[in-house]
Amino acid sequence: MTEAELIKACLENNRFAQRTLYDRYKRAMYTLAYRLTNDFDDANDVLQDAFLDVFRKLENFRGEATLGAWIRAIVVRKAYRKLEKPKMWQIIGEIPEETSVDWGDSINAEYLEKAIQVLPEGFRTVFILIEIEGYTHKETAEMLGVSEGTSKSQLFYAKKKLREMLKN
Amino acid sequence: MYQLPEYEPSDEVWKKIEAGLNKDVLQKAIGRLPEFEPTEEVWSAINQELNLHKPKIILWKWASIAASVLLIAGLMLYKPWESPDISYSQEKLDKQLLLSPTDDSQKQYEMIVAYCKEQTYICQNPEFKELKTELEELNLASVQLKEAVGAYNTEPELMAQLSIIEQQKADIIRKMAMKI
Repeated sequence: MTEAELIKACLENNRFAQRTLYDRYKRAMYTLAYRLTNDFDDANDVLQDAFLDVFRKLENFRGEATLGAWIRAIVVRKAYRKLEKPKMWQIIGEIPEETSVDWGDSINAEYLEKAIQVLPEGFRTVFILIEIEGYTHKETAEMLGVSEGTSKSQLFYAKKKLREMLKN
Repeated sequence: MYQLPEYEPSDEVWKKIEAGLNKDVLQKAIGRLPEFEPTEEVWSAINQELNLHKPKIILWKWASIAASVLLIAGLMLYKPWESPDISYSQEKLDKQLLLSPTDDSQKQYEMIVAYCKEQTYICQNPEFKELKTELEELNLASVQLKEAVGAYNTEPELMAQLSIIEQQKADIIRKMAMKI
C-alpha cells in the first residue's frame, strides 16, 4: 500500500490502515522517544500521545515534508514536554573555535548508547536531534525554544563529554 | 615546466578533512545503535482511545449538500423561459430494491488483505485466519447475490438476504479490527 493510500484510509478512520501506519513507524519513533526521555515508560506515553495526535490531526498534514518527518516532529515535541526544562540547559562557557572532536579510529556502538544515556538532558537532547535525527541547529533551536548558539554549544559539550566517557 | 612553482594548501584544509573523517567515525557508530520495540499495550491504548472518540458525522454538512442538490434539481425542472407545452414523465425506482453504489465492506476487506501483507504475525493467528476465511465466504456469497440482484431489481427478498450478509460481514470486520 502506498503512503498516499494509507493516509487516505487513515483519514476515513479505517483502523487497519491506522494500525499499518503505526507499525511502519513505531520502532523508529519509540527509539527516538526512549532516547529523548531516557525512560521506557515515558517513551510508551510519548508514543501513545504522539500517534493519537497523528491520527486526529492527519488532515493537517500537507505533504510539505515526508510523513515520517511530520510524525517525528510530533514525537520530539511530546518527548520534550516530558523533560524537566528548568534544569535542562546547563550554563556553559563559550565554544572554542576548534569544535572538531577526535573520536579515534572507531566507536563501539554499545558503549556509545550507554554514554548517550548518562549525558545531561540538554546535551543529550541536542546530540540526538542533530547527530542521530539529522536536524539542523536552526530546526533544533526552533523546536526546543532556544537560540542557535545554545544548540551549538550544547552539541559541542555533548560530544566532548561523550569522547571523555568513551575514552575511559 | 619543472621550474613552475608548487603551492602549499593552508592548514585549514587538512583540519576540515580531519573533521569530516571524525564525523564519519561517529556516524558509523550511530548507524549501529540499537532500535527498540514498543509493547503491544501501546497500540491497545491508542485503539481504545480512538474508539472512545470516534469522529462525529457532521450533519449540517450533509444537510447543506442535500439542499444544494434539491435547489439545482428544482432549477432544472422549473424553466420559466421555455414554452409550457413540454411534458415530462418519470419512472419511479424503489431505491430500497437497488444496490448501493458504495461498498464499504469491500474496501475494508481490501484493507485487511493489504494489512496482512505487511503484518503476517497477527494474520497467522488461528482466530484471525478463521474470521478471514468466514469473511471471504461471505464476500463470495455477496458477489453472487449482487449479480442476481442486477441493476433493476424488483425482488425485496434478494435485498433482505443481501442485507443480512452485509451485516454479518460488518460484524466479522469489527471482530478482526479488535484483534489488531
